[in-house]
Amino acid sequence: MKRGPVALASTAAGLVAVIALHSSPSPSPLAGGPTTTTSSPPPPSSTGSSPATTTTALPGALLSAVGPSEQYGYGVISVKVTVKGHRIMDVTVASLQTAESYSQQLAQQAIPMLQSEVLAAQSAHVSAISGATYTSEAYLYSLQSALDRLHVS
Amino acid sequence: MASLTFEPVQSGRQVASRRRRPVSRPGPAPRPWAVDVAVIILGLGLGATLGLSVTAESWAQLHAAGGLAMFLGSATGLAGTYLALVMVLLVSRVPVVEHVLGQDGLLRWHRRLAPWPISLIVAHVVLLTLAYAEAARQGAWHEIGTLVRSFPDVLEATIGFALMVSVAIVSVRSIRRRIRRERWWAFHLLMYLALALSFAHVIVLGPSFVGHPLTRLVWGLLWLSTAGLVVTYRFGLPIVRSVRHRLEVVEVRQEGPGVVSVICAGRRLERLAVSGGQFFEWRFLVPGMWWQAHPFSLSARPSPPYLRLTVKGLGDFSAALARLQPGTRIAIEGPYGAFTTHARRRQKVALIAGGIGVTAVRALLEDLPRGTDPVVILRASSADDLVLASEIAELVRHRKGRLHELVGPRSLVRFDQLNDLVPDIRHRDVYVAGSEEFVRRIVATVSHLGVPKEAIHHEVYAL
Repeated sequence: MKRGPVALASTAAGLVAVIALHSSPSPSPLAGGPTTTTSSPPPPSSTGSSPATTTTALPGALLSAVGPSEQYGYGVISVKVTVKGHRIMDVTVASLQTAESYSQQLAQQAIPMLQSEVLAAQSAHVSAISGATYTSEAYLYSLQSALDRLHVS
Repeated sequence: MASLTFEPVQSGRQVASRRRRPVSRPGPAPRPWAVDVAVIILGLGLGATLGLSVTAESWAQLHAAGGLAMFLGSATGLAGTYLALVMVLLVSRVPVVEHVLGQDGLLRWHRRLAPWPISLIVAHVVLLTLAYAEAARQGAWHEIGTLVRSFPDVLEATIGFALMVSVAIVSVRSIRRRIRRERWWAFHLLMYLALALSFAHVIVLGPSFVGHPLTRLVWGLLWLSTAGLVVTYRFGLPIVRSVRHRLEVVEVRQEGPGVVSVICAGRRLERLAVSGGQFFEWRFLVPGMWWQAHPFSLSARPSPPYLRLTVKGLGDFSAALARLQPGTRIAIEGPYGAFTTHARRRQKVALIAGGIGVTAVRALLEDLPRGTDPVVILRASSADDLVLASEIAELVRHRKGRLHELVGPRSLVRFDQLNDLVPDIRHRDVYVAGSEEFVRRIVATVSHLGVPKEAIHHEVYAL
């Protein structure tokens, strides 16, 4: 048996098998790698990449705005904030796209921490999460822009 | 065959009578299908590895800044690491593979493969540095610092990479020739450390592994089992054998100009399965020599409790052998090599030995079954250099074969007369042992005479 051609043929078979297995109809929830994540509950306001809703509604109404997409080296992030008067009610990620899986995972670890820090501090002036400095900076910058649009300091 | 024993002349041991003497165990027959299976599995693995880097990628990532370089960087890294694993397996001394391909066959593949993993891994490092720099909108130089400092396990991987590159540089043929074999060999074992250092960053950062516990598990097991094979067969088994047989030097005998036989005695040698023509890595446990192991063929089948190796003293090490004292302890690795009667494809054989290559031929002759009609050709530049010739003559006579001695300066001995010496050489298996140059010339000649590749077996003696 010639071993060279056998090695090549089995390499091709292995390659095809893995790709076929991967593109089979039931992809595992873990497969797919980094994708765009969007915030879950759509509040009654405009969505979209940049324009914010600034309504002249009564104080006490829920207002939300989406910050601009911030490029931060390992990806692009944009943050959506919901306020009631001057109170920050919720911060979510409107979109997140990363260059590779590791940055995605890092961002996903950092985002809940940033969210709780922002809600606790009631401002975008919180310190960056260590190990995810760039992500934090982009997140907070996008958040600050969204708050500016809502005229919340 | 009383004259064929090589028992020590002044041995203090009381040797049991010949009738009750245990005989040494023959070496196991090779199983070529096992190697075919291994080749298929390794091929599938390479394909799967490439497939993993493709499926870990999405279109969005590919189109992001630095995305293409990022993808190629991961793919080259993974493929390079996988091929490095294959290189480690090739020299892991797994007996099944060793018996089929022989150590020189395995080393040839190891060397042939060597440029690939290192090139792929260099490409991996360059591409990923550029990719991250592009994604971070930074200069590549600055990005190196960021990668090493802020990404987990990249510092270790970087040290591993530096080691790999150093080993690769000293392994380039023109540089390697300037370094002493033992030094180079010891240094190039750092590759194990380099691979261990870079293991973590692959599964922590690799797009095929982040968030994929299954691929992580499989990759981990793959490396763990490879490490297990290396520890078992490259380190464990030699230690077990050395302890079990407790070999020590009994006598050093002058065979010819610069050629000595070392006769060793050991326990339970009847349990050591050896085929004639195989060799061991010998480590003589005396100051200055214990750290280096050298390959020498057995110059006869073991005759428990004795083993004999015959060495031509050209290198420093071989010269030091002549000064070995009786009682010197020896550690062994082996037996290795596929230059055995099991490799035979046809009924009849021709054995061709140049210089010290006679040792393997001498031991191989003992293993040849009846009806192989051996034709033995010994080549030496002077009659004094024809060592072990009387033993060979006797063995040939017992097997009703023929012996030709080609003596004289190289310019006077022409290999194209092989066809006259062995007219039916085309229908024989040809075994060639000798220097690299000798083996190369004989192999070319007999191929030209019509001996197919699978019927030519050779063992190269580096001096």
